[in-house]
Amino acid sequence: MIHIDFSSRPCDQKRDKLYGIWLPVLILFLITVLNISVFLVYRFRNSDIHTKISSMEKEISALEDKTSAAGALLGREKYKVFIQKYNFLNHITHKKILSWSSLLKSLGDALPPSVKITVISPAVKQNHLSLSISGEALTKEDELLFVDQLQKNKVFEDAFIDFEAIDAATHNLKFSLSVRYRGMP
Amino acid sequence: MKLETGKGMGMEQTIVLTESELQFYSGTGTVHAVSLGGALDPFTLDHPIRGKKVFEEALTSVGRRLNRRKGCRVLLPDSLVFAKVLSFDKIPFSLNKRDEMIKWKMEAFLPGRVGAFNVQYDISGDSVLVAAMPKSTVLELEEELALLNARCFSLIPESFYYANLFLERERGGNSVLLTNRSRHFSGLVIQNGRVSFVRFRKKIEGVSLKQELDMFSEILGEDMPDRVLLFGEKAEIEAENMGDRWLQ
Repeated sequence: MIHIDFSSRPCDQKRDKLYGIWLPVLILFLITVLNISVFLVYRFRNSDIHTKISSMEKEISALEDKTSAAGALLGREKYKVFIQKYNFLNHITHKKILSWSSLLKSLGDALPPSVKITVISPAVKQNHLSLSISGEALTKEDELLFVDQLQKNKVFEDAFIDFEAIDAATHNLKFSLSVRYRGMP
Repeated sequence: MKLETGKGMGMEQTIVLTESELQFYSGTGTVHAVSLGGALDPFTLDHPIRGKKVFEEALTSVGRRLNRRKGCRVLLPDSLVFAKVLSFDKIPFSLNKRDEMIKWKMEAFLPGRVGAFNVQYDISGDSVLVAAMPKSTVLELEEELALLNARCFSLIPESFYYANLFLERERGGNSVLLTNRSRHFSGLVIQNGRVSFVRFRKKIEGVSLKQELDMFSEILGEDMPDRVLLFGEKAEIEAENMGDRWLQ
């Protein structure tokens, strides 16, 4: 069916408004009314139980007050600072212990002759080292061969192409990929 | 090949605007036609209504016969509309991006800035049927049609309406729909339930519908559907003149 109509007030739109807006609003309204009425009936039928529940709620809130005071004593802020420091040190440590010679050797093994790497950028993500690699390949096949060889190499895993585009000047395929490195430091 | 002719099949309270007259189909089988006497010029794109008084009188006359609560469908002369079937490898999900892409593509086919046109489109698969009409024309027609006092009305190019009737009846069908008017003709090709080709154009002197159909056949080659549906003026006479090739 062709749905083309130049009219600013077509007949179908009004029908659509009825089914698309007013009918769902009506259904929601009915559901809300039903919920409220069920709640009210339940509330008034079991008023004695609710009295007990409200007294228990009061006790719970009193206990919560005590707990929050204890929490303040434990010093949550100190814990946050500790986590930040831990993450920072973890990041620095992983970067420092990264053996660039073994990484470059592994990359050299995986690199086809028609692909060149322009940027290697390591980053610590959680407890593993991730590499962002930018480069240029002569063809798409070369780029895929590189990714394939990274996958086959045991020190790399989860190679994933983030971006690729044909360079207007050189007609080479520029790409950037991320890969997880688990080589020995 | 089998050729069918038809006019006004299954119409419900419909007004057909042609170059010469305004036809009103009440939906109960009554047809009321009012001569426009050149009040509507479908080739003056920006302001097609040349004789405002005659046009308004015709509309008032139809308005008296109209059931206002039901709403009304107004079929426009195809020559007021620029239509094109565009193909895209990928159609964006975002409505804004989709609008932008289609309008950008239509810019090349329209005689003015795309901003001056009311562009409507219908997507089916990777092809998009786009129709554009000058905003000034839409505004002018809507102002005049307000005289009908109808609750609501649709403004649809004539051929698209016939295509919808065909598709309602035969989902996934194949056919060529030709609409014959005194000064213009429209051809619309439906393949597998989709509009695959559309051409609205002014009639060339000495070129018959049969020859136009032959041209269609040359353009489409093997994709030319076997069936032709003919609408509009003198449909039966034209059908007889089509010759054996289209009648077999």
